[in-house]
Amino acid sequence: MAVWLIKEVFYQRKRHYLTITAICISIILVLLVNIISGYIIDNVNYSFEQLGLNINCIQLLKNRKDNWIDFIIEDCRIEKYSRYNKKQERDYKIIGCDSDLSQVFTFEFESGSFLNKTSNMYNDNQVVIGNKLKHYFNCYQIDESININGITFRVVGILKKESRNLYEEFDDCIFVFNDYVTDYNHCGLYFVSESRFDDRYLNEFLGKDNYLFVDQSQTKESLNSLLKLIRNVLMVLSFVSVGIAIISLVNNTLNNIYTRMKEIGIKKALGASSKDIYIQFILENMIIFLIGILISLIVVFSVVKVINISLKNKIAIDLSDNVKYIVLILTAGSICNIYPAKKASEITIIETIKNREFS
Amino acid sequence: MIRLDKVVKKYLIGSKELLALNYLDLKLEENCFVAIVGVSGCGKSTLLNVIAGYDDIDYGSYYFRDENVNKFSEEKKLELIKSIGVIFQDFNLLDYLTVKENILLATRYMKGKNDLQQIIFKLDIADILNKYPNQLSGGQKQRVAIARCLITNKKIILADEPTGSLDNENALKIMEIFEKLNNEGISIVIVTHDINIATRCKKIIRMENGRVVN
Repeated sequence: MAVWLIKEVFYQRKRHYLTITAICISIILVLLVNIISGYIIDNVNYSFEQLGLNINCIQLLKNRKDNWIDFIIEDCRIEKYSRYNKKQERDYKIIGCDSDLSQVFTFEFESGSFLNKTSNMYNDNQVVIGNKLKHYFNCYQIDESININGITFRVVGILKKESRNLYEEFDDCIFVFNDYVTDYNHCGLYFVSESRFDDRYLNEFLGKDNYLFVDQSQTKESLNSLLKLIRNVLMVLSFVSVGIAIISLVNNTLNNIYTRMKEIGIKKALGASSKDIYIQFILENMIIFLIGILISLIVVFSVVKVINISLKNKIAIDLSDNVKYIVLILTAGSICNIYPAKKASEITIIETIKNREFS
Repeated sequence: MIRLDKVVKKYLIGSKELLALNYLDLKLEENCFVAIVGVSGCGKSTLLNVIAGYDDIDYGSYYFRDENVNKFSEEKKLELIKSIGVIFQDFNLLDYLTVKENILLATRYMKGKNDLQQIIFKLDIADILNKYPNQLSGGQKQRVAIARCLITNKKIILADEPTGSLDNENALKIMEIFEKLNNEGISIVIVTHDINIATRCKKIIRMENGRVVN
């Protein structure tokens, strides 16, 4: 039975090319949108997890004469923090750090590391530099010395190229002990809070429009909902294309009924019941869908493989997640083909004879 | 075996009613070899379609092996269709199937299968089994169509202008096959307008205006 059916589909293949193409495009769209958007959302969430969900950032927008950062640190009892200098006045950005910095940010090192809690970066005048600054300071390995604002520092770590966190790239950053960051007017503050930071205090202390406050969990939520919205819109569009493919298949099958009248007539004259013809058309369309699904899977796997070449975190295809879409599309296709299959099965032998006489 | 009593079959062509079978009476015995002749449009093919179970009648009765076909359910009607083999002028082979597959097509829908090798030998089609219909001559195609009837052990074969598309030589070969099959106990009913073909049958039925006249 299966061999007959495959042969029949193969014989009719020229009629099915367009339909199979439409099915392939729509399934590829659905799967790629699902896989890639899932990857992006997962990666964003993973990055947030890596960075720590509780990192906040305060950036001063207007100049102040007081050492506002210290007040905030004291009043809000902030324990883990990192000051930073804005880049605008130098070729590099200085980020202050203390022994807890590794808990505030996650870094990947090309060489060296931050010293552990017992080390004293202040006393030893140690720095960690971003990857680009190797060339700026002509310092390509750790334990070499560099000069910043007349002070000599020993480089204890060089970050990997394109290291970054949510807020910035670290390639042109220098990490020094917090106390070196004293230019409060061009300062910002990263800090860790165990729960969501209530910025009412900042409102009162710094003035409503004088600062920028970024809450990472808030950022994560809004970014996540934006990504999910984009994903849902793309999924809807993909399913619209699936709908168009199904309509194309139904239309093609309906047209085929009239061009295949002779075949239906011969089979019925040989003893095929209406049910036989009905099942044949349903199975044929399922085979067309399965061919479309198979081609789509090959294309999707190939595309993902090609994309993975350029990705650090590889895209993993979760088949179980995509199977539900494939089953959904196959079911929708089969249900929609009930009508044309029924039409085909209702054709009588005498209709096919008459059709031949008049055609 | 087959009896038609006052059978009427009408067709509507536009608003005009055409009486294809006009109170037709007919009786066909087991193992008959009959030619139905008449001019075009006299109702020959309609009669064949009615006997084969393809078309319903508007009035009268059709008895097949003493059972009233008018009262047949869909399943019973399908059984009637399965028990009668029909051969057409244009052979009705499926182009995408080989000769062998075309012959075996009938076995997809019917239980019971005759010996393929014996049929192949009988109809001299051994060398074309793996060919496709478009690679065959008219005579070969018609022999394949006959083989398709024989594979499911049909006891009645209706042939609508079976030699209509064939040259004389091939037409005679087909008639020889029909004669052999009739000698083996298969009833043959041929619709033709070729009197030379008709005269090779044991009985000739002449039709005019939807009726048997002779």
